[in-house]
Amino acid sequence: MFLAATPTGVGQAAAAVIQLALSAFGAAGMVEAGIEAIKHGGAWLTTAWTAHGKPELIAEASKEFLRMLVAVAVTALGYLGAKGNYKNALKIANNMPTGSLPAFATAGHAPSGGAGARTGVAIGPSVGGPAVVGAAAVGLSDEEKASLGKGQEVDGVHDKDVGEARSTERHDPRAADGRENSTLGEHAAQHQSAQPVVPKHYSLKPSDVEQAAQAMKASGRLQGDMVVFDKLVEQAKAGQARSLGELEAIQRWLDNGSAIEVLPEHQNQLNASGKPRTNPDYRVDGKLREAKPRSDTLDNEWVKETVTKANKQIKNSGLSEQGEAELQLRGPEAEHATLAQVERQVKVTSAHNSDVIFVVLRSIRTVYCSQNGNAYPTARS
Amino acid sequence: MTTSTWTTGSGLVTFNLKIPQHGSLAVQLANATSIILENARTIGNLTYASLSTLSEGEDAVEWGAGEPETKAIIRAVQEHTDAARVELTFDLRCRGADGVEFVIAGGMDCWIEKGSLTDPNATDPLELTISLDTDVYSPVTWGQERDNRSLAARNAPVFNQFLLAVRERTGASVGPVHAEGYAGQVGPDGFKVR
Repeated sequence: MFLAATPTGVGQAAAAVIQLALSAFGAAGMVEAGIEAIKHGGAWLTTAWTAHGKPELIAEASKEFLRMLVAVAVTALGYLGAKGNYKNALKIANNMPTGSLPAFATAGHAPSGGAGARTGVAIGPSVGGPAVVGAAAVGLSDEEKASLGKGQEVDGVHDKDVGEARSTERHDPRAADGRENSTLGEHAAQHQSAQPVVPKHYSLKPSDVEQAAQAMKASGRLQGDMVVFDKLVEQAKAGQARSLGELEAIQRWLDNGSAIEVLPEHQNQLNASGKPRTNPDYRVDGKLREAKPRSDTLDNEWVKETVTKANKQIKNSGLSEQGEAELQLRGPEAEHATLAQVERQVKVTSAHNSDVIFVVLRSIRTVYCSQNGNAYPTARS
Repeated sequence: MTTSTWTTGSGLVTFNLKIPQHGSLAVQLANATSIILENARTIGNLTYASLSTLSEGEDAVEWGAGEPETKAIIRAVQEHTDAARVELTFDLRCRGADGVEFVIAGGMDCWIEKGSLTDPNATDPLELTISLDTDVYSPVTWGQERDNRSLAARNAPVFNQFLLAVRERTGASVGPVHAEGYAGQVGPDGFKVR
């Protein structure tokens, strides 16, 4: 999980306490805590500072403190890959005696700047890198749900015969649109900087694939199962959009200085728990990562569906790790999607309200989203 | 692994269906699960199943290692009033050009889930997703040889029948079909085999 709330005022103080709590729970590496924790932390400090010695307010402040700890613990458990049962934990917190819990009830100053920390999920785009979308986040409001709309859609379905389809699919739809395309020289230059200042447009054409693939291999930072990589290259040469998208992702990771391992494909194997063994795509700087490109127009289902599949790829790999999903929206059709569209669908992969955190997809820790290889500009959302 | 005229990959073709919600969610989830399990017998074997619940999280109950027992799955779904998602994985049975059966391990995932996980009283439709990790049913594929008309003609009609039966018996409406790279090969009714 990766929630990036930006606390101010009370929230900042609460966040500091939360970081201490994370250390205590053995998850100090998780620098962002859940918004639920920030909320309870904020409520705890607010109530405590305004209690003025009133016993009932002191008790409530103490409970908020405990609720915050529970929220932090659940978030930390999610970070550590454990199942979340926040509801039961919260019940325990609500019924705990509060006599010995800290409340700062003697502090008589009202907090400045309002009581609540920001609870929105912040997307942190930076030039040259993908946006990060919280995989566990606040649930959708009714208004948000209504705004999603419903509809029927089929990806690129046109009544073509077999011959037409073959001929069309051999050409990436963006091949003739005159877009800038990556070259070997550009890649070499990009290696000088881990965070390129100028956004680069990643847009491979089938005719560029051979040269690009050679450059990737020559980088010395692409390792692993080269049979799998070569299959990807062949499919990209044939014009398969998802293979072209994966190669663009590899280009970008290499440009950012990352080390990439192409993971092998295991066919017809069961993992230790008896499930059919799945094959995550890559390790990027040691972390499992599923690359999920899309070139067609984004609808209201694809992100959720894709994150679910990525979760399964990692969950049933037998590697007992959490991983990352990278959604790459590429090309003129997909790039019209707004970050808000993506974010809404990621949010519903985990439900979260005042009573329940349901960790639906616990094998995915972070969901990244990029648009033609670059972070989503926030202005678009 | 590229296998002749077809290939495998995570979520190559995915069908999304919406099942209108009537009455108890757990009962309806169990009913949809039952319909899928019953109709999928024509195309494959169930190899893994899991039930996620609001109180216990993802994969609260799992069945694996051999073909899980259908009745036990349905009973468990009915008994968990806070059931949120059922996930089913199938090995697909197909016929080769010579008529010999071959199996695509883990070739199809189906999951059925609550439309809204945050509101227990929501009446959003159940969401049913049927996701194929193979393009064996498509006339044109991304295999080494892309002309797969022979295998598609033998196998796609059975899959299309499965899709239709699930749709009709659950009363589901058709949602998006995600099949990037298979333009003209597939639609809401399944694969287009001539």
